[in-house]
Amino acid sequence: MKNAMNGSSKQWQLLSAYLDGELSDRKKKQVQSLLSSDPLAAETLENLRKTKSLLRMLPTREVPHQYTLTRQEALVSSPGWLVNGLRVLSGVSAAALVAFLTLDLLIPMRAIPQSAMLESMAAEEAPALESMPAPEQDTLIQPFTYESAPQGFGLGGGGESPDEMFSQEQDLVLPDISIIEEETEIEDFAPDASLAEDSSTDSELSEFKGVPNAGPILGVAPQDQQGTVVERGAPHPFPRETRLASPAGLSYLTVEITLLTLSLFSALAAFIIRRKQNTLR
Amino acid sequence: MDESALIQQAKQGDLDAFNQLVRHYQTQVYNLACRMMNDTALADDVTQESFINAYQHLKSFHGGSFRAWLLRITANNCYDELRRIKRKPSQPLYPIDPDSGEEVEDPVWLTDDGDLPEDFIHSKELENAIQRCIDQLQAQFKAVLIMIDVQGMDYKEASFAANTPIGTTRSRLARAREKVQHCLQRFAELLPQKYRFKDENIQ
Repeated sequence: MKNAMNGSSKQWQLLSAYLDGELSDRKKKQVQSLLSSDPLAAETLENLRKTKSLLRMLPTREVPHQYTLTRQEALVSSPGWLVNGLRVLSGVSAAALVAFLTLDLLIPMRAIPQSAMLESMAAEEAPALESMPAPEQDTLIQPFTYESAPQGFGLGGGGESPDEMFSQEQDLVLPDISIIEEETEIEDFAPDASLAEDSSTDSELSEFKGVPNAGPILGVAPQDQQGTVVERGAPHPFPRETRLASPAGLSYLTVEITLLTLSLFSALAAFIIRRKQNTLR
Repeated sequence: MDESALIQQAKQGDLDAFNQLVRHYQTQVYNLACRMMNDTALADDVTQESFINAYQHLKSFHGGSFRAWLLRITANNCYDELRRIKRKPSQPLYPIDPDSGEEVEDPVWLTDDGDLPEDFIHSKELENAIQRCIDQLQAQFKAVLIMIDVQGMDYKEASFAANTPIGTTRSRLARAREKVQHCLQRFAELLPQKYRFKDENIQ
């Protein structure tokens, strides 16, 4: 709207503030000077005054009821922190759940009971073991991954003893299992002479030795002497359900279910409380 | 009413003291919400929610104008509600013609020849016309215009309530007045003679 009664935007602002008496003395004098010299500015000011008067005359509406708070409303209105806390708890639980699921998929933590391994090997008579005089003394060095038994800390694991695990797992087939490490500390691990030519194995072994009491993956030491060595790339002999639990007695599955339940219940509780608050208003 | 004492008592959990403050300010809060929302049911909800919010956050009030603090909460709730309505429009702001099913663009305005402004302003048509012009403003401009021109607050108090610097308040108010004035020219026949704008035929 650029017509006679508007003037420039800045002039309009000055006149508007002048009308409200919100200008400094210096600017007020400037406006008064403008008004005396510019009839258009005076007209703009007059129209502004009419607009303000019309707005000011709008009737005040009566409140439909008293807005005083009842004790119940005051109480219900209090747990805003509770709703927010539940929302945060739900979010954190969901994030932890995702983290555990990721760990579960990417870093399987298992331990195979020694006796189960022995039986499985004997049953299958794995060719890799034929050249070994005794499982207690010799080891077959192949590209491998070490998977630890329970260590008393760390992710995953469970509350079952290896023997208990074995009782559940003894019927399982163990393909391509190459060795059981028994009563052999990692530092004492000596490659079989027949395999000494395997340079990749040597380098892997040297890396392995460079980290005392640590396996090549996750740095978990086989101090319980119940770890297993399985061929790299071979399908895992145990289904997911048989993975070991942590010392706290919580398996991956248990933790995941707990987190899922916590997340869902906290979100539901926050929703119900919030809804109840809204209903009471 | 010793406002400071009531606020201190309310901060310590005295609900009766808070309710005295509510009774004192509820008309202004409700009217700001009414003018902002142009819907009495929504204004009712916003007003109640504003007092509940005020009670919840009373400890964050550290002096100054309690009215401006209350109106800031109310304005913020109005912004939220207007945004929600914009996202999910459920009902038109203006009446629907039952025959055609279309929005009534301009009701049949009646010219009132009375001399007193109150006679005009009390006519529902003129009030609706002014309200319709206010509704065309953006929420932030609307809040400043209502606080200063309708409710009579000064720039400083309105700036606190609108949470903007005084310069921003000044420019928003000027632009809001300009738009409302331009809009009101469409309803010139409703305006008392002494309130009709000069050069109103110039577009």
